[in-house]
Amino acid sequence: MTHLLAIACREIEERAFVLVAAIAIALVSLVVLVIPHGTFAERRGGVVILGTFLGVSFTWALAVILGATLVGRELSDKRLSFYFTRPVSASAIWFGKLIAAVVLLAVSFAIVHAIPLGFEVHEWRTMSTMTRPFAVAAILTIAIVLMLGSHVVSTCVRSRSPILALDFAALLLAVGFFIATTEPLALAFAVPPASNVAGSYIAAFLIASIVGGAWQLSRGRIDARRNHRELSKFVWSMVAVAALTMFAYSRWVLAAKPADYTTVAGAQRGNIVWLHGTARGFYPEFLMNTATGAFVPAGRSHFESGDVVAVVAPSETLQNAKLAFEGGFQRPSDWTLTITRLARTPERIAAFPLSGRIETAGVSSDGSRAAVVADQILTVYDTRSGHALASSRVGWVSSASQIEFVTPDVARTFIADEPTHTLTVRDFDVRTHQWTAVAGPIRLMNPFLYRVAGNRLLTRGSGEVELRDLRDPKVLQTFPVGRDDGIWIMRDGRQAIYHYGRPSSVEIRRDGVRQRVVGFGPEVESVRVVDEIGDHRLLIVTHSPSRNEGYDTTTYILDANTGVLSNAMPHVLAAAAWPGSIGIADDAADRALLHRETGKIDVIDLRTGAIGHPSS
Amino acid sequence: MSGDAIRIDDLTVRYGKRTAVDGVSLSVAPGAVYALLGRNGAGKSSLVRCMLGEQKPERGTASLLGQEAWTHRTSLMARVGVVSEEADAPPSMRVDALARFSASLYPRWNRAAFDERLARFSVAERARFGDLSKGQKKQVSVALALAHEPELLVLDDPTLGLDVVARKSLFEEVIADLADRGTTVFLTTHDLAGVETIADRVAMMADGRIVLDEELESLKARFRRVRFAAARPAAVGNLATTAVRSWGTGTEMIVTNYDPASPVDAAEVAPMSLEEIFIAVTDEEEGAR
Repeated sequence: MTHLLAIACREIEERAFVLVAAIAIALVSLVVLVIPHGTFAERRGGVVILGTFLGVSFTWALAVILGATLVGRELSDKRLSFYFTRPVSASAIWFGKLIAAVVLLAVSFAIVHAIPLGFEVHEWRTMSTMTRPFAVAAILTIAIVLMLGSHVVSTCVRSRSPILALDFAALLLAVGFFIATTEPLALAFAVPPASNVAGSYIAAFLIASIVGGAWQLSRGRIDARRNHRELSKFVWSMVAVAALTMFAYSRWVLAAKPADYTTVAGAQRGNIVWLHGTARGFYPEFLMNTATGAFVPAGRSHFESGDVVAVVAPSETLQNAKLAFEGGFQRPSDWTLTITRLARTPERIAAFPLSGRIETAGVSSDGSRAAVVADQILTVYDTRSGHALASSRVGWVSSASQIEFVTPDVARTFIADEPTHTLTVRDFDVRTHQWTAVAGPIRLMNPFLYRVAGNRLLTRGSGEVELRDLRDPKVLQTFPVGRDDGIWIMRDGRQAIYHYGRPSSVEIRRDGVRQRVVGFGPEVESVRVVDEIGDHRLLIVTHSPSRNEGYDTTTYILDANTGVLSNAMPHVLAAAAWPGSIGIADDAADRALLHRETGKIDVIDLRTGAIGHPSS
Repeated sequence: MSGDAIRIDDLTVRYGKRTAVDGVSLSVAPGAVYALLGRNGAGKSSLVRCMLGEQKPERGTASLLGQEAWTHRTSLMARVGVVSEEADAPPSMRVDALARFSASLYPRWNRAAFDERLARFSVAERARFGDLSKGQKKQVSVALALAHEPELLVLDDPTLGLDVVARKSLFEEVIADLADRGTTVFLTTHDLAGVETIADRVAMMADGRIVLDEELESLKARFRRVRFAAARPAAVGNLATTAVRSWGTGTEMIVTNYDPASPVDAAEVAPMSLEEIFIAVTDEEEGAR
């Protein structure tokens, strides 16, 4: 330790002139104060801006210079014998020099930033959203990375060894591996794990170059080429270990499945539940068939019909990965549409590329057809060949629009128009390329407030809910509903009206006449009917404020005939279909019960009310 | 463990395809002054670097004071003083700072002896090392190398580039210290005249190999320049010669096994300086190649 400190002090003494340079640079920014332009406050701001710019530039430039001369210069000048002919270990030489460089860097940084950071706190706050400690830590961390990188480059280049070509190849390999590791993570929006990978690469490099410095001097001593060889071996070994570990880690992350959720939530349409939550350090989304337990990743958007799901996901391209990292995934250049039947064993039916801005899509229940609205054009594809069978311009459609297949050759479009808040239903015949009007325009309270269940269409206007049979588009029934109420149309024709605000309640009506009301305590903020079990029991979910997670959910079974609440399931969310304020039973056989705090997933049989696992 | 101050076994150093040191073995007894002679590029500096644990040999070992040099370099350097071929101290350091720094690294440090040597060399303590003349730099290096009272002193071409006065002063300094403490000295040099006065044993290196390793006295005793008046001398007998030169009716030979007990008849016999022996030996090696 004494030797290390002696070397550090000697090195600081030798390079103390950089501190004088730092003082000079720090004073330069004060020149702004004497410029006869603007108010004093403006000039004070100018000092902060110029001082910060000069300070950061000086610190980083100094880091590069200190790194390049850490040992590289003495090695090439053959002056390291000065240390090696004295009783000091290679580690003491390296760490003494390193400590000296870090001290010089930190002190210089403090000097050059004293004026911009200390001159006026207010200017700093208005310049940046970063806190001062974070900014200081970031600048110094970058400086240290630059210094160590410069040391490695200097050692390698100054040796003039042919190994430099191998270094370059190793660098390309490391970059390639990094891309191969992070690209799939970016495409899966696994940003925290991708950050972990990047952080691990940087940490591996830092550790490799810090420990590697002692290693190179210990094994290479005064021989520049041997120093280079040993440093390269050490750095690339560490980077290789990090790269392989991170590759395995990324594959482990991406192999997450619904059983790995530690928190979960979701929504369900038919038997397909869209799951999202936390698993393996990120937020994977899946589509799962509640009847079979089979699942696939949900991609960026998804559409389902029966047990067939169509997933639109960004193609695995570097451009898409970049867009994902930037969070600007609005217009990726390439998509892949994958159609899978979620039978007990998932069966991939087709996968083919798409391009453009995809607004909505649909898939036939046999998986043979897919319809996609992209860039205002509806195209129907034969999924097995990937060929377009027919297309037609539909104009601008909102994301609330849907496509269903009446038959594999007839695509039914539910076009929700946002400016007019109307829904128009039309059929497009693939064989004749002809459109047939089915219903509408129907007024909606907002473009999302409609629900399709087979041939039945439920729409919500400003004060009423209408039920239609699309085979005969006249209105079957109209139900008056309050603004803060939702409605569930039961199989026997009764209506369950649920009140959202406090006090929450569920009211059972037949032909508009109240039969009974079930109230909830003041802790319940809202209640919602999710589905119907058998012909008289309702699956309901209550929401209560929660200190831990914003709100808590409890799922109950309500007997509509007696008004008795049973089977209270705290912290469980029965996966509902959207929109939440109107409901009608669809063809679902089960409903997912999501244990929000543990990530466990159960299903409830909608005929019997039995609860089990998705695959049972 | 041998009792040798220096022991080198089968040491080989290669730079790419070139062999700089080729299976060299030698040993130096404690208290001896051992001079390694050789032309530029003979492999002396590579050998010294391996000996000091600065460079790992391709093959073989170098031990100092009973310890393997590569493995035990740090602890060994506390017992060894080194004067490098090139003065390698940082140019910006002042001499007194250099002494303070060095003192902090050694378990013992004779500051008085260091100051005394500086005074004898007329080197100012506050002078920057880079501002000193080449001779003064060497003198400071010697003073630093001796200040921790080493058991072994290694000097790699210490007189390179020095003038006659500086050279004389350097050897006198070494000799004076040796007289005081009986330190083992290993030096490589071109300065054969200087070595002749202090070395106990000399070795000559050519092309990476030791071609001669002998006590200086016996070396000088067996090498003679012998001149015959006749062009074809009849009295050569068992004399081994390394060079024969004829002129007119006379002949001159360099004899490598001269025995004073068996004088050569009809000949003029003259002793040879170390420099002459060195030239004769290295010329012969060159001729053999």
